[in-house]
Amino acid sequence: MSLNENLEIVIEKNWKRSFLNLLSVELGGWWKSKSWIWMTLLWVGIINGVPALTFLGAEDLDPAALLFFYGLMNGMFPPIAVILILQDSIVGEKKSGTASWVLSKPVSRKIFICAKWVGNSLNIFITMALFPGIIAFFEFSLLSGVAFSFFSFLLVIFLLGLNLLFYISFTLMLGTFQSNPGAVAAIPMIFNFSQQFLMSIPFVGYLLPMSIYLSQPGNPIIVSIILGEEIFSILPVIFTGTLTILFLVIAFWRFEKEEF
Amino acid sequence: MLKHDPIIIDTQDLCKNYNGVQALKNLNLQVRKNSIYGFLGPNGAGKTTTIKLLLGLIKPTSGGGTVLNYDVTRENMKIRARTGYLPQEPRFYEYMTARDVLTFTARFFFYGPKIEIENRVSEMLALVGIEKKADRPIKGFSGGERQRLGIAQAMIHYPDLLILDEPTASLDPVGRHMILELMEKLREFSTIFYSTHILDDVQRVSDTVGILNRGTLVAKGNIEKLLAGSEETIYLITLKGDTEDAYKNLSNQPWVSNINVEKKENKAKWQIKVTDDDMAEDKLLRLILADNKVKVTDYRLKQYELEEIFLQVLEEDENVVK
Repeated sequence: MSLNENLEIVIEKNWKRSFLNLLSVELGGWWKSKSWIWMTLLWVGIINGVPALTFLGAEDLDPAALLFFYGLMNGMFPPIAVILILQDSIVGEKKSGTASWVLSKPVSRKIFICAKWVGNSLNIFITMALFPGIIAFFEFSLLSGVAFSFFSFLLVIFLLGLNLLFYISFTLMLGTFQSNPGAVAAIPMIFNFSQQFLMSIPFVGYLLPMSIYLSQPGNPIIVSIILGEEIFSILPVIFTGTLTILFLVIAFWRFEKEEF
Repeated sequence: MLKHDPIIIDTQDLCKNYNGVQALKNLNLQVRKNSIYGFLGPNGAGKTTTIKLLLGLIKPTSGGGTVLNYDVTRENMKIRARTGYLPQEPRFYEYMTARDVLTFTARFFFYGPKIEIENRVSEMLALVGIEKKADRPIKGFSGGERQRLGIAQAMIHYPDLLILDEPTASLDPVGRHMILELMEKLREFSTIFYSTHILDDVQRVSDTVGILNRGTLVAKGNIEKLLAGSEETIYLITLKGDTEDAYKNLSNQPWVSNINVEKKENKAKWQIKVTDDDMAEDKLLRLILADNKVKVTDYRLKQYELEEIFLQVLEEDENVVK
């Protein structure tokens, strides 16, 4: 049996090492399996395929209608997949015992949550927002004959990504409170679909993540950005971003109290 | 292990309650460096709770302690950096191979070099005898193979302290033998604290034992002293023939305190308690054989088994509670 003299020992406070190690698990579970291929195909089919089938060959195509449709497809449906993916992320590890095993190593609980959040955010953003978004840029330019600004389109992709991050944080946070994946999924799912009703309440419409892609009256934020118009309010973006961070902070706090 | 060896695990009145139920009551545990400490107890005694408290996976309700001189509540990251842990039912990421699991675990402790980490992983795979299955996904592993992998991941960084929760529970006799041998070898480098139900294992490899019952440490100490058990020596003798006179003769000896007789077919089994070992050694067999009507077919000194001690301690504890 040899000793550790040939190995470089991790210093106890080095969070970067354990973070990168845990992140590699989150990324590996996605990119080394076929999950990302199926997810990319599914969301390219929905986000790019449905508008193409709807608007292909249409005369006098209104770019705002096309972008509105893109926003709806990208804002409403991917959160369902996000919730289903994340519902088991913490609960599954708590139940299977892998969380207990990992946390028996020199890993802080904050790093554990952080790696889950960053890993899932990257996996989901790339497959559900970035790939379909870049395809949409070229697709919609061809369909409408309008030369959209690539940077505006990129900004919109990130805003739609923020909507997904909101659901990632929301579901992850609920996973730290619950041990039932059904309950973890139900709350954000209900929220996702009830937003269209909540939007009718005065001022609430300015705060909901849905207002990023489906505001009324006037064009939604993402459509305004691409068309170079003034957006109706920045509040939905700020509020969604704030809640995303708040959920993450609550998840950190709650997970510290968890007993394994 | 010597008396002046430093204490690696030291708890003071460590308590843990779950929903008002006391799972652990005022645990005062001391484990010395390079010892193999067998932590015994029936199901639900609080063994796993103790282990989780030592690693900081759960927080104590009251009391405290140190592991490797680090506080179990405030410095548990430092404890985990120098401790290897095998959970009772090891669970890993199912899509990973055994090699992936060990590499993943090693990276919590080592930056590199990559080749040295790979060498360490291969060494551990060979050590626990799963090198042929190293590149297969864990989801196809049997309970015993998972256990071996669990032991390998616990040892990957040659920890100062190894905490093993039921290390031989799901192993076949070959695997069990291998793990016990490994534990004996590791004593040179590490202190081993392990919980088990298998008393034979404890008797074979441990030097110190603690018995936990319903959250209370009811017995602890050096295993040899514990096995020495009763202050009185007992001789087990099997006899044939007419034993009546020999019995009378022996009963009259002042150094014989009790003779327990059990008759089976044409044999009599005597358990003779003596108060003077020297007299017994010198005279016991002579006195019996002096009677020509008696034949001695078996004659030996009673050796206490850990199981007897264990059951006796638990029984005494139950009586105290009643």
